[in-house]
Amino acid sequence: MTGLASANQGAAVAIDRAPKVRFRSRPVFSRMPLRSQVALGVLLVLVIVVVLAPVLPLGNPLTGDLGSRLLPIGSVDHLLGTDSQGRDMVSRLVYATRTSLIAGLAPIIIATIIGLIIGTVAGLSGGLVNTILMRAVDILFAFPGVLLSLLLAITLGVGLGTLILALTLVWIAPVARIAETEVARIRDLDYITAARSSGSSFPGILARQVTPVTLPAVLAYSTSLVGANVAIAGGLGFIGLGVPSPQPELGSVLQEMQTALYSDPLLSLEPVIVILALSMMFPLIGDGIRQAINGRGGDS
Amino acid sequence: MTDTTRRGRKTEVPDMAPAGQLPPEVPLALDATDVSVSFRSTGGRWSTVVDRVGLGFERAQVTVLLGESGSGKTVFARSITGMAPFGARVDGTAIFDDRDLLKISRRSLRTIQGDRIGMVPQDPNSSLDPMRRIGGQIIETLEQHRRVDGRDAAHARMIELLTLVHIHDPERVARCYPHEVSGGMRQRIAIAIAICCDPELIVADEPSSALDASVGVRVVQLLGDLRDRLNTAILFITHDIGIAALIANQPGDRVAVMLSGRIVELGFASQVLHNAHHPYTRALIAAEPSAAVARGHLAVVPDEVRSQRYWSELIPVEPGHGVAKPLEHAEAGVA
Amino acid sequence: MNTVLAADNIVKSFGAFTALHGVSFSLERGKTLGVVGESGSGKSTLGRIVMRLLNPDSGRVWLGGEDLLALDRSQLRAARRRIQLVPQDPRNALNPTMTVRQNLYFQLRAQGVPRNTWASTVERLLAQVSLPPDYLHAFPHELSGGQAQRVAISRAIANNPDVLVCDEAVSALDKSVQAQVLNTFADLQAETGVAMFFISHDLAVVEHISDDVLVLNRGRTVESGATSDVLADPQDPYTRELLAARHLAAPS
Repeated sequence: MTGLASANQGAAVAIDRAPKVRFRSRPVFSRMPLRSQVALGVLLVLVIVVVLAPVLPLGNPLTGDLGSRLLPIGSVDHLLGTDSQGRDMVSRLVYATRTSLIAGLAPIIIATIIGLIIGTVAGLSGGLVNTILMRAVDILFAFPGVLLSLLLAITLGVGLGTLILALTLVWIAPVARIAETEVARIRDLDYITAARSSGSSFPGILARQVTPVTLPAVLAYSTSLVGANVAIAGGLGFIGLGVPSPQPELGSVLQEMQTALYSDPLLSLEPVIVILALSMMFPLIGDGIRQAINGRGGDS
Repeated sequence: MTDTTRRGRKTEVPDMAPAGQLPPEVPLALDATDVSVSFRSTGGRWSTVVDRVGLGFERAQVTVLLGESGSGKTVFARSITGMAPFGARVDGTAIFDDRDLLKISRRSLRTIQGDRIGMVPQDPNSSLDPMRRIGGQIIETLEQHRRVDGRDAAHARMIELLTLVHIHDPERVARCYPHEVSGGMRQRIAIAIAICCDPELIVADEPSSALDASVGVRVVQLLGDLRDRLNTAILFITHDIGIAALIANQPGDRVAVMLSGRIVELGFASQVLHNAHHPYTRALIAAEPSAAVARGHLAVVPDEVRSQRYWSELIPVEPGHGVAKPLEHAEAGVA
Repeated sequence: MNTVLAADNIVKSFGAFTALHGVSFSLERGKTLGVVGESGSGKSTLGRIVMRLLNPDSGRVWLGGEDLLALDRSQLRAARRRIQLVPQDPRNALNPTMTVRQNLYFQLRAQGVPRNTWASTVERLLAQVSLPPDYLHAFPHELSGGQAQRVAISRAIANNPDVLVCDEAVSALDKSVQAQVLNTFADLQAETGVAMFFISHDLAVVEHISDDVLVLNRGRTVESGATSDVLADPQDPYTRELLAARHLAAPS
């Protein structure tokens, strides 16, 4: 027989419980992990720099001095050197980042808004509305992105606008899918049922009850798309469907700097570093957003 | 109370065993001593979920671990069978067959779990493979633990097991997929898998709470019947006093009431359920709704009991029955 | 007679499966109708139909004197101020991204309560379910199951509805917490005279809280009447089986 004294051994000890209730919400930013905060900070600095580029004391990114070609890093007047046409690399990189950020972010932002609306309405409506919307999304999904860009380039002409439009169309479908899946996950949960029976309007439920829950996952997903999007934009640029030269864009700058690979490898690594930094930042930010919102109880 | 925590000294408390009880030398199927379980909370501090709890499990005896959500009952049961939740820090000992389940390797644990310790899950859907026929799943478990030789023997044993859990047409059920049978039937099959290797101990975590009441009651009765036929110790976890009374229906069966990671009352089922001393146990029993209580007047666990943070060790109130007293604050070395 | 909710001959099928085969009931002001049955009995389907979250194949539902099924979209939104849901799962009862206050504000907006009274109303609502106003700042995951469920109740009673539909509203709670929530329901009913359509698989709970009881089995009413009569002398074998299970599992 087990002695009953074996039930609790030793002295009683405090069970750590949550301290007396004090509920205070902290802003999303402060709940992000440090690395995401850093990434967000870097992005912010980058955005400020590229927005202010025209008023900053930068060299002309389009025309260079042919006498000072491929100057090394640390040259006077050209801190990061010059490219094969003698153009200042600081200036080239700033303007290239600007173009790439626009080409990288704009399609994702637009696609997220449209995809979120399509996916949420489809998920919440169910039935025929769902079928029609999601089949349309499937068709969009099945259409090869490059072919789409090619068609648009032929009909609308090559340029930043066309590029953004083409990439937006590419990304609507995956975002809508994610949004629809997220809505399907929660639409039968008790709080949505309660909201439906609260007497609220359909748009009210959609905006106030559903979107706050689905948004973190969708945002995290679309942030992670930015990297891929920058890559595709570069690829399209490479085959002549992107931003026409001499307008600098990170992909094209990288390609131009190939010539310096043997003479001055460090110089040719500059655009690589910027591309790497950009593509690492967005997943970090996306991850941070998800963690911050999850910590608040959004169980996505 | 003297120090009775050493295993060898448990036999020194004969006053705890009521007349007619098994001889004190009876070996325990599993003997957990001084088990604490902590988790690292978000702030990096360790928070203790189970605090120095010990329980021994005798064969052919049911021990009910009664507690509400957050009491630590499931964490305790999982920890002492070597299945502590991910990230948990477990201290103490859990002696099974002269080995400490909290110390031995994962590999040796695997030869014990599912073989000599059977598990009955809360939700049979999560333990059965939806893609495979029921018979095949039982046979697989038998073969894994090398309990049978040859297909015919395995099949025969499988049919025997299904019959044992009161499935009337075992041949047909064996050919079914889990979704083709009812929830109660699935839980019986989970029990059949749990007992297939003649375990010394069965751990059943709320096996009836996912089932309809009438079905759940029958499943619990089945488990209760099996401990005699198989001479198995049963650790039965529940939050439901009624279910506790249903399973712990023999004189040697015990009920341990868990609150905030401590056992606050322990005794034979008849003592705890009919003569509860601890205010928490009493409130739990009185909270049971019935027509006899006027609406709006169901008993509620008093706030001072629920928020009490320190409980002493068990102080005997009658042979075999002990109750913890509230303490002002944590006192080291209180006997 | 003061009937606030009634249904007549409700039939509902999902494909080949008929969930309800013509169920009728009526519920009076200040009373509780317990709806009992095991899984698959159709009790939750009935609950969704009387809230018009689901349309029946045939039959009628009256909320007050109105034919609930004949209402158009805007009339329905107005009718929803008189019938409210207390859902089952305390973990999902409240929107996880919003504080308790925001959850309640959503309800008040939906119910057309004037905005300038919201701040005081939510404090009064929490007080009605015995929660201190501190909890207005809490996110749902910071609440225990019983607390979340009481917030869900306070949300349901925000605009003094005539009827509460409680769909297994205490089933997921620990017994001691369940007692607290059942007391809350009883106190509210005594205070406001709200009628309750109380769906539960737990006969003990229904026996405690209900004046009348409706026992469903596979979509049919097998027994109905005053709770004490039905449970004292069940006519239907299914009810007897349920009762037997209850007595087996009752702490004697």
